Amino acid sequence: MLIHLDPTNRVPVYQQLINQVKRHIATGTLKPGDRLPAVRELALLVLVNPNTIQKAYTDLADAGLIHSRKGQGVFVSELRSTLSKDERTRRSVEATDQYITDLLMLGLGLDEVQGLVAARARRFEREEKR
Amino acid sequence: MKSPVVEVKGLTRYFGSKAAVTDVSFGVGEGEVFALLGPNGAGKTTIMRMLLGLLEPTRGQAALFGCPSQALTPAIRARIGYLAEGHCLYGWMRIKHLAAFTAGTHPRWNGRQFGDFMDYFHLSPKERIGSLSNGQRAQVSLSLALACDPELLVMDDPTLGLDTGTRHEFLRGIIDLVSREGRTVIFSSHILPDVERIASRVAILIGSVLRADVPLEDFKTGMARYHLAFAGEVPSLQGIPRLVNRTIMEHEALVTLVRPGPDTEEALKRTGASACERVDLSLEDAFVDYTSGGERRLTFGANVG
Repeated sequence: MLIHLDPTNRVPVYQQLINQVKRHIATGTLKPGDRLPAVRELALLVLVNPNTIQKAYTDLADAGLIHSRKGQGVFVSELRSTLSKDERTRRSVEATDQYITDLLMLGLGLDEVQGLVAARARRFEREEKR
Repeated sequence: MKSPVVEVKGLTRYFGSKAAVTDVSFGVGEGEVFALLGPNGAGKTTIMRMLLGLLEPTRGQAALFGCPSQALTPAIRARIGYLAEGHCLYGWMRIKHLAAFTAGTHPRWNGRQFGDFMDYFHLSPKERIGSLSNGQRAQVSLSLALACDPELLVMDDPTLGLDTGTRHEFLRGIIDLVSREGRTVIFSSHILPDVERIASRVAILIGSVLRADVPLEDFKTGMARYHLAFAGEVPSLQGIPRLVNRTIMEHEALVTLVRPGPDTEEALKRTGASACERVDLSLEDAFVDYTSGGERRLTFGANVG
């Protein structure tokens, strides 16, 4: 699992960590059952306060993405949705609309938005294959 | 609630008629990594020296582990590691003598860890302190402090003048220490990316007064900078609430403020700006804007003001 934290970035370090773990899970670099580094181990590797790592792990666990097994470590959870199909559709549409709105506000045209989504999706696909 | 590891109340120190520290109060709880920031001459070193009982306060008090700083017992001192600014060590001693000397007053001394540090830094125990470079002296002094396995580590600008590799080794040592139960760190620094990596809380001193005491993230996310553009001259920006800094150009202005809220947007609108955009602010930007703004009355944080 490659984690790169940039302390000069505006995004708080613990949020950067959450985003990167989520992305690894989304693209399949991290699969259900994979073990995440222990808090201390990761803290020493990326050089941040262990409490920051702990906080990110706690948030990821609250979101149901990872879980800890006593004495064994922290693991990636099975990706299962507790939401109904309708609710999932509703949330997906909402997130997509918000995203399109944001890009239109940046001055992109709808065709550019579509091109961008397709290009980025291909990138996720490549990461998944690796 | 457990009593804080460090407790400072109304701490004040004058040198002659000049105030070096004015009515400073804060507490540091177990497990915190507390960064004391501020421009040169703001009073950081004076506070640390008073914490350790090396300097008497003019008024107010400091206590470590519930014991007044002026009366720290050898048993309490044994639980504390201290890195003085500039890494003052006895120049006539050899590294191994200094290690034996330190081990004598610290019952939890870890000789193996100290040896590992020396190997890592390519330092021989036989070397005389006086013949080391500044950076090497810093390496020895951090290694000594960490090998004591202190419950409280106090460091005054420990990474000043060190190269990136050594600085990162420093951070690694501190992270290793705080991942153990019940370890607390107070340090001062000017290197903000390092602060961002390890601090859980930041306090900012400006001109002898404590002007901020907040969790690290709140400081970074609690400040906002806006870029404003105007058709004509830039108007007075006095009406913007909690403004800490402004830079005015011909038809533009950059304003930085704390705790942006609904009143911020309204005030920005009232300036009549033709465009208003929120721009990124790193910890370094936030710190510089906060400390150089001249808005001296403003404070940030629960224990302040």
